[in-house]
Amino acid sequence: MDTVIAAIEVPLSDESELATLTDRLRTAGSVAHSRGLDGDTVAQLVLTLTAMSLPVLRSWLVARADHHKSTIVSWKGRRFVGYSAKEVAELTEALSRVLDPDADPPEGSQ
Amino acid sequence: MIEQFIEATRGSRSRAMVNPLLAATYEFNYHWITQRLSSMISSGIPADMLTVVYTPAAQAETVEIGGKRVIIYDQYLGQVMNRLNRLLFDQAEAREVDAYLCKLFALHFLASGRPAAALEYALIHVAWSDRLRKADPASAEERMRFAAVQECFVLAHEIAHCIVRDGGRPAAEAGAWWAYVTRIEAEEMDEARANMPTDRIHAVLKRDFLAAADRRFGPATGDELTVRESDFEEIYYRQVFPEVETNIQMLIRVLSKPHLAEECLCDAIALNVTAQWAKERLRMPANQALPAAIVGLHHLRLLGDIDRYASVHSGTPGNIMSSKTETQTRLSLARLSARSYAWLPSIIGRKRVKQLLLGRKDHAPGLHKALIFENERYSAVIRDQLEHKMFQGNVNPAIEGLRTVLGEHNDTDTNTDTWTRVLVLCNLAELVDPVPRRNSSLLGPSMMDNPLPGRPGE
Repeated sequence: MDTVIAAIEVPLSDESELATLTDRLRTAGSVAHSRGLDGDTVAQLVLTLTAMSLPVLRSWLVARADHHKSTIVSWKGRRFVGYSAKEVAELTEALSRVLDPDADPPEGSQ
Repeated sequence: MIEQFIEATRGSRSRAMVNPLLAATYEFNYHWITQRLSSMISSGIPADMLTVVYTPAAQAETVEIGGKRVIIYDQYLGQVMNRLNRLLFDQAEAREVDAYLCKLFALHFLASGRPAAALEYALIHVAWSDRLRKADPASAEERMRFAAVQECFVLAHEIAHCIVRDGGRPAAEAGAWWAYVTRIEAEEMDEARANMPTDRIHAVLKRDFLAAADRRFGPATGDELTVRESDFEEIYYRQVFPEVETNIQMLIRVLSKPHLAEECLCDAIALNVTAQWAKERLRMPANQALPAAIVGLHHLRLLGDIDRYASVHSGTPGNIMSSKTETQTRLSLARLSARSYAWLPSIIGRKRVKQLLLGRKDHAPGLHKALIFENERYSAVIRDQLEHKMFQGNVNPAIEGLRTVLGEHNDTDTNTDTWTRVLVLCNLAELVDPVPRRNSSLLGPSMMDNPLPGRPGE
């Protein structure tokens, strides 16, 4: 099964929600605090994702979008923004293409 | 741990593509600055390591992960600052500035996870690429020295943050001393401004606005001049001028926000150590190095504004520049800090401390004039076009025209082809990170031959 290293980025004030995600995924991850030149510090959970992780990640991202909370997911140096349910769906669809390139796309995703 | 963080956020090629000579230079400077700052305001090691990457994001950052603190420096940031310096040194025309800014907008939309919008700016950048002039070899050496100083400033700023965050006593004392010295500078500048008649300020702002319009549209006379003067009064002066605060008001505002105060303090520390570095490494006096570093902060403000715009817009027309951003405040205070750059008691000695406490200062000769010159040059060549929405006035119709020609296309923000197209169009194909896909090669002939989206054959 393919894997991908991803970083799940949330504002520092939402850092505790990253622990909820690692609990649900039953996986260890590392939380990074990063600060760019603009001075804003964000929390990023770095973890290895598999196709099995995707449904859990999707429901966690949807729950955040429902509460109007933004999440940024990066892998292979590319950032994907999840502000809305639609964006979360696109994001997880893109992740599934990377994790399982031979799988057929889910109905209604194209 | 940090390897995984970089793999996820910057891509696996981000370290492989770094120029080894440049990496060695950054490493040397990192140790030089760390050693110097440690002797001034710290006794420990501020960061565990420096990692150099090369990514289209062109961003430096400090990361704490797995109990380690790592400064990530992006080689591409130096290239971007060097290119912006070229526009300044060559007094580039507005149309050339537009063409390069489109590339920066494309890359920042990409870094913000909006490649579909990035693609539009990238296409316009390519369409206008004949406006970009080749570098003038006569100014090459001076530009390189300018960029070297700016890169030193960025590294020093990051290292200063590490020291300030550690909360040691020398750093806390430096913070208190910086606030005191900056207050003296702020009072002096406010006094000078108070002596300036109100209509003089109006005249200076109007002169700059009309100069920006002249650069964009050519000189105006008669009715056209009347229209431009009216635009200045209605669109710019009435909105912007009432927001101007005194330097003391600005300093009080900064000190009331710990996060912003830390940024400004780290700018001041970085200016101080950059002046020392430039003197020792480049034989460049403070009255040249400090204006160069301030121009570097101008670049960072510009990139920050573009980044903020790209984060909240989907490529649609809107106000790009915000006059009340924190980076503008940082820039204003950094100009004050640059005037009294040698402000740390451990550097200037007891005699100078006493002089400063008595309110006597001796700025580097010519420094004040050089700071004003660079400020005005930056405004004239790059900033004013964005500030007065003339850049948008030119680019937005081009984007709308592009959409009319291309129609509805299928590029989404998760389409890996779109990411690749943007990097190729921005001349950064070497940074394309391989992503396995079904039934097509990464840079297949259809994409390379036909980078426009939505055309037959894709």
